[in-house]
Amino acid sequence: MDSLPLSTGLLALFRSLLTRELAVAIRSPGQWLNPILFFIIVITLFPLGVGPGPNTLSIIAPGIIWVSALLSVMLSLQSLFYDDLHNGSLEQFVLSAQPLSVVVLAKVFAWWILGGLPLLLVSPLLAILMHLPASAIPVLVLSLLLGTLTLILVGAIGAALTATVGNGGGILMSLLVLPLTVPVLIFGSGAVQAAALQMPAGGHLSLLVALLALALSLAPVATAAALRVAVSAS
Amino acid sequence: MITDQATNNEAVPHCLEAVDVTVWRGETLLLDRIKLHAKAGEVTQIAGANGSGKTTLLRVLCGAALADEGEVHWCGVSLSKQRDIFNEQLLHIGHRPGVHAQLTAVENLQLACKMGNGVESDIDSVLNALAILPIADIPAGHLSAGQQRRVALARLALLPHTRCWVLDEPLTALDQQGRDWVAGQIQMHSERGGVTVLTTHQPLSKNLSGPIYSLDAPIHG
Repeated sequence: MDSLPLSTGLLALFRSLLTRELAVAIRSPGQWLNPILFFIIVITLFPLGVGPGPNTLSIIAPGIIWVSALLSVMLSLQSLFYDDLHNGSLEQFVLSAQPLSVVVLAKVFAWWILGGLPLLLVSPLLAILMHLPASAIPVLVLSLLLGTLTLILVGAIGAALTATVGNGGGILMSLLVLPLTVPVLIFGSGAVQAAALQMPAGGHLSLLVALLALALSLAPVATAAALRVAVSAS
Repeated sequence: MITDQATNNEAVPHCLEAVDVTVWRGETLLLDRIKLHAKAGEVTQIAGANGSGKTTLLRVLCGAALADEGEVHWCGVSLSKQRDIFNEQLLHIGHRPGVHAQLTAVENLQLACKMGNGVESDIDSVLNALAILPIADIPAGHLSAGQQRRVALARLALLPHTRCWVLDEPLTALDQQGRDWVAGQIQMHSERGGVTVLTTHQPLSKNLSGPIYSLDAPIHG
């Protein structure tokens, strides 16, 4: 086992942690069905509330879709570490010789597959419902791909910081994390707006890539540090 | 590096030491300058009434919680200086067993083996010895308290290379057969030269000897 190169060992660990997270999620479907249902319900309510006029809807569509995506990701994230903290798994992770940030990355990626990927998949349909020009749909999907990953990475920091807070942890987490997610919202909806107006969206998308790179390199370390505090305080 | 020499040199017996560990719980002094020396090949018991701080002391000893004052040493070197080296040697079974309710016994133990470099091919035989092989494919949340405890304790047999066992109430919820199995594992671990620190309210097997530290002594001496 020690003869394996370090990276192969970590990759195998990442894969088995990912399998574990997905196995847990499949057995408790409410956890990952809630965000996607929330996303669909909020967006379908807008044409009913605002009126089905294509002009109004297509103007507000990028913002509506992006705000719904942000809220659906954030509202579901607070339970990310809850189970593992309370059944003692997190303590085992902290006390193992494996790097905690790999555990965090696996959990985040599993959460993205369950809570982020479905949003991408239904977003073209919802875009048509909101009369978003067809030319903007690829940019919408791409911006959601980059944005949801960043949001979950950043949200994981908040989830770890508030893991030991009982009820009300969700509000505290939103207060902590929402300011950090505002740039993602601005550049994400900005990209879609630009594409809807037949303007180049490359600038916005590049900034989303930059934000993702920043979150990917810093968030797992910060989350791991917060989890160590959570375990020692629990 | 000094730390590598201290832990990798097999000639030096392993030992876990608490040096004046002090923990405050709010305004109350929970652990007052605790000194403890757990030697290789011995089973160190921590006794005390409910609420006397046994679990807290064990969590400090394995590094899950930090002491307000004092230090914990593994082979003479402070834990804070050799976190990863110590974690490779550590097997901690805590108050919360670390068994995920949605995962089966096998899935739980496979991950434990991955995290701790255990032998995954041994899982079936260990579950068989613990008499939980027939229910190994049921999510652990559906098992009884004793059966869940057995899933957690299977790690004792799956990670035999660990040198430092910190066990919080390992015998809780177990029947006689389970208690005998645990005592047997601890005895084998001691014979391999491992360090064991545990708390229990049940009498341990007579074959296991070692010092008993009581937390019930007057705190402000």
